[in-house]
Amino acid sequence: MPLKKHSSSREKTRQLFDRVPTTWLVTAVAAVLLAVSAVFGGLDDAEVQAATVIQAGDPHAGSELTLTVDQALLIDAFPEQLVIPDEGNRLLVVRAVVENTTNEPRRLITAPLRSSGAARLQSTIEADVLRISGVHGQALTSPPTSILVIDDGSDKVVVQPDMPVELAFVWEVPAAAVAKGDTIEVQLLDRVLISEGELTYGGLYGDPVVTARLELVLGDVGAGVSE
Amino acid sequence: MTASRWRYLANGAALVTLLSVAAVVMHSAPDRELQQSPIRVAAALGEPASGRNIHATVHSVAVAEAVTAGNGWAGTTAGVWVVVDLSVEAVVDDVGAALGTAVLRVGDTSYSASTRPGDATVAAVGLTTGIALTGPLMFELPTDVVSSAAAATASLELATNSDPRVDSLLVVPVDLAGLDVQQSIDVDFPEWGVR
Repeated sequence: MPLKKHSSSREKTRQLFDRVPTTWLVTAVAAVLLAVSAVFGGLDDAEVQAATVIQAGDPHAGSELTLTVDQALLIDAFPEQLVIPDEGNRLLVVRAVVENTTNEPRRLITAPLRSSGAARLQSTIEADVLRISGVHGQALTSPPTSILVIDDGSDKVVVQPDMPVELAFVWEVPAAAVAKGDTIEVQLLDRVLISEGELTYGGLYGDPVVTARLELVLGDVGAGVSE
Repeated sequence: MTASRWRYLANGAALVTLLSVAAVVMHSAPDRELQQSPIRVAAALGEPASGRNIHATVHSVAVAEAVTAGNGWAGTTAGVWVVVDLSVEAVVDDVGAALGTAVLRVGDTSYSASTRPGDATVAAVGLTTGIALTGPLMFELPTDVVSSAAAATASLELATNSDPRVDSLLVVPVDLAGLDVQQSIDVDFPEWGVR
């Protein structure tokens, strides 16, 4: 009878299928998915977005701030602003014009050191506007120890919307680690809004990402010049 | 058989009712912005206004290209300075009561009172219960913003915390567009009492 024959062949296929180990099935499904994704370029190397290399004085527009870094130099201290490094340290200053392109003021964050003598406070704050690379003994992520408005030397900088302001980003670095003529790399950071908080209020931001980098040759003004 | 059918119907009706009540509640309940928004207190220039823990009188508003503060500070700006003279005091409690929110809102853009002059302004200064502190607030604004159409309906917002949510927020309407831009003005150091 043809019906019975058909049924038995179907049963045989089924028996064969039952004897295939599950791992083979899983592997086969994965292989098919991989093959399908390969058609759409799934196995190609992911494109790594390299940070743009810019020159000193070039404005770089981030999502919230536009930065124009033009100079980096070493100085002994800013005594009038009470920015005085510990013994054996000097100040590394990066000059930048910062413009806030959002519609609300933005406070720039620093991690001040403890008053002299005390150990450096282990800070969890990370630089989120710009940071320096290539200075020995200086953690890449460490934020400036102070940020000053160059015009009047005030600290606690708040950048107002659409008001460009020239700032001095100041790091305290070991005097032996840096010298005039050294090249340092300045990395411009951008913060990425993940979402508005659901349980918390305000925006949630991811780790700062480097969006541009530039190289600067360190100048040295010794004890300082009045600007 | 009939009794259990009626029970099914009743259960179904109860479920539908519950779902519709839930839908109404979900769509009419105040959202987070409304639940947490500041309690706005309408105020006017030259007249005293009171909130839960802030009592303030905005005496005058001026726009100038340069300002010299009471401590000799004379910072420059790429824009102009909006100088507000006001008296402000705490009402019930001066612990942790600083003038944390002093914001000038033009259109949908907000500018905070400058802290650049240091202690020569009342920005972020600690308030005292029942004793007014009179002094200036300085705002750094782009020149074209001060003459824009939105500047006619600008507002000054004052509160005793840097986070003004769920507390009083004094809102003073200010017409910036109607003010002449002065060359330079001198302002006094903050002092006790109402001038």
